[in-house]
Amino acid sequence: MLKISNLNKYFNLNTINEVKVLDNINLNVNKADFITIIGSNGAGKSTLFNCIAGSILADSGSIILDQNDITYKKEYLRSKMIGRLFQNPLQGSAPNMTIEENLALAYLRGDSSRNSFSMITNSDRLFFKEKLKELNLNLDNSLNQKVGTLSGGQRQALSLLMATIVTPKLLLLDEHTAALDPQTAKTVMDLTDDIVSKNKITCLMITHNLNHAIKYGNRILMMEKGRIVLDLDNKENITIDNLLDRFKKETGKLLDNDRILLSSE
Amino acid sequence: MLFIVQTTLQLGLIYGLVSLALFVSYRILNIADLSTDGTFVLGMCVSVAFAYNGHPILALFMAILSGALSGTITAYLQTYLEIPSILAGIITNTGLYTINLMIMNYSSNLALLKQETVFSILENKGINNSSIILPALIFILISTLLYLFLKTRLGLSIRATGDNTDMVLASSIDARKTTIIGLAIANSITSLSGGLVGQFQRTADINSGTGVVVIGLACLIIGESIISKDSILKNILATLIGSIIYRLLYAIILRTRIFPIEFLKLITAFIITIAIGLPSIRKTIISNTKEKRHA
Ligand SMILES: Nc1ncnc2c1ncn2[C@@H]1O[C@H](COP(=O)(O)OP(=O)(O)OP(=O)(O)O)[C@@H](O)[C@H]1O
Ligand SMILES: [Mg+2]
Repeated sequence: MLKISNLNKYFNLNTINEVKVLDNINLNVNKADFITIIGSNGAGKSTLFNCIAGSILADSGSIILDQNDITYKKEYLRSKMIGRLFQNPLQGSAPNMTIEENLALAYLRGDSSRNSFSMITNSDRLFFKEKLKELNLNLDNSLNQKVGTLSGGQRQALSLLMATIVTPKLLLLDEHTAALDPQTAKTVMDLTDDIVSKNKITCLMITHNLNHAIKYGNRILMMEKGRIVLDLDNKENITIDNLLDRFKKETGKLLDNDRILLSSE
Repeated sequence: MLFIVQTTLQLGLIYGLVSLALFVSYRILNIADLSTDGTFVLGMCVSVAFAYNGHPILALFMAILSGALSGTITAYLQTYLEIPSILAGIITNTGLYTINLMIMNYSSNLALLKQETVFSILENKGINNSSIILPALIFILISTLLYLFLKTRLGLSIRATGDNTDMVLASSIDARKTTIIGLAIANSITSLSGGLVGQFQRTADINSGTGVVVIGLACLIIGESIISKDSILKNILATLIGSIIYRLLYAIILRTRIFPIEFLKLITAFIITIAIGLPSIRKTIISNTKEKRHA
């Protein structure tokens, strides 16, 4: 499904500040894999996502998504296949546009049968209502509400819906619940799990919440200094403690992330 | 009195198009487009030049086209060459000065003699007040088209581009394309306004664009302060109402000569400073009073 081979990325190449942020990454993602990624600050997790999504270009190596070589493809073209969510809930939707208009933007993306001048139809609206109802956030009767008036959790849930309303080939979640309070984070995480498993979406999720990393998904990756140091099948009985142990064994140091959550809730 | 009402409506409607254009560039795309002055004169020169050669109706279409071209260039500078938007506008504006002179055969103005204009054509057909009716029809037509366009897939993409750049960059929207189309539309509306003014005054003048962008913004803001800006329809209405209020003040001052009309640009500068700066001024006052109360 997604095949990353020998991917390298430097920042400030050929200057004294040169840093190697991705160091020969190789990764094979199977269809419908739900992979969680953990690692220290600066390990290169977000950079890996940026290379996959195209917001930065890799220096060497290749990224093949569903038989398409997308290594150097333009970001907006990749976005037709890749859905993305960020830590900041404000990043995924347009505040001065209504819920309906935001959803329409996301929905129209995959539908090349409509031309640039098509408008939102009534059957679109019914479909949006249906989808909003599934979020369970009482938004299904607020199609004309401006997105800027929503809470952080509601906005992140909406962003999730926008990223998946046309089922993407790949969903990239970069700590998308980190800015939310624990209760809201749980709601959004459950929604995510629900949508991903229902639609069998291939998904990569960076998280600092070790509990989430274990609870969701079928595979756990650990990154350190631009490399994938551990690739675990999440069927064994993994606990936070042995996760931390294995990290230490691989890297010789403690997992060090300023946002790390070790709690079991 | 009648004179005041007439001038107000004529100029309010014709220049209202500039505010409408600035609604697209400044409000929707979040770009202060400083090529507006030059594009306005461009439309005026093109329009008068075509009317001069006996094609007053074609003239307006050519004015629109010229504005679209100019907007496209400004947008290219911003998107493909990554020149900061303010500078991109200034560059286009500077270049347009020469282009505008070229259109007028390197003279600083071009006057229509006995040639027909769109206004005189209507008058000849027995339609009185063509200078109000025609601009009104054009404003209604353009704003309706704009309103509908902003609800289309492409229109939504353009709005999102100005509303949340981060989101659009990570989306399937090509932000370069939407910026180019948005600015092309805005500038074609501006140059249509210039084209109408040119035929209305029966003359094009190289210096007639000075302050157009600031006045247009002032009108936009005056309108928005009266009508809430929570829907596209209200936004569009606000541009017209702001423009009419501004031109009413203009006509009253022109008529009564309370002070020389040249003062109006200084006053406009004040209006726009206060209107845009008001939120900051308010914040400072509030935090100062809180601080005092606390102490
Ligand atoms: N645009 C950039 N220019 C230079 N260095 C950068 C740039 N972006 C990231 N880096 C560096 O690359 C390294 C990896 O950053 P990245 O954001 O991928 O880390 P991360 O694993 O997502 O960390 P965190 O857990 O803190 O989010 C860091 O050392 C960072 O300072
Ligand atoms: Mg990160």
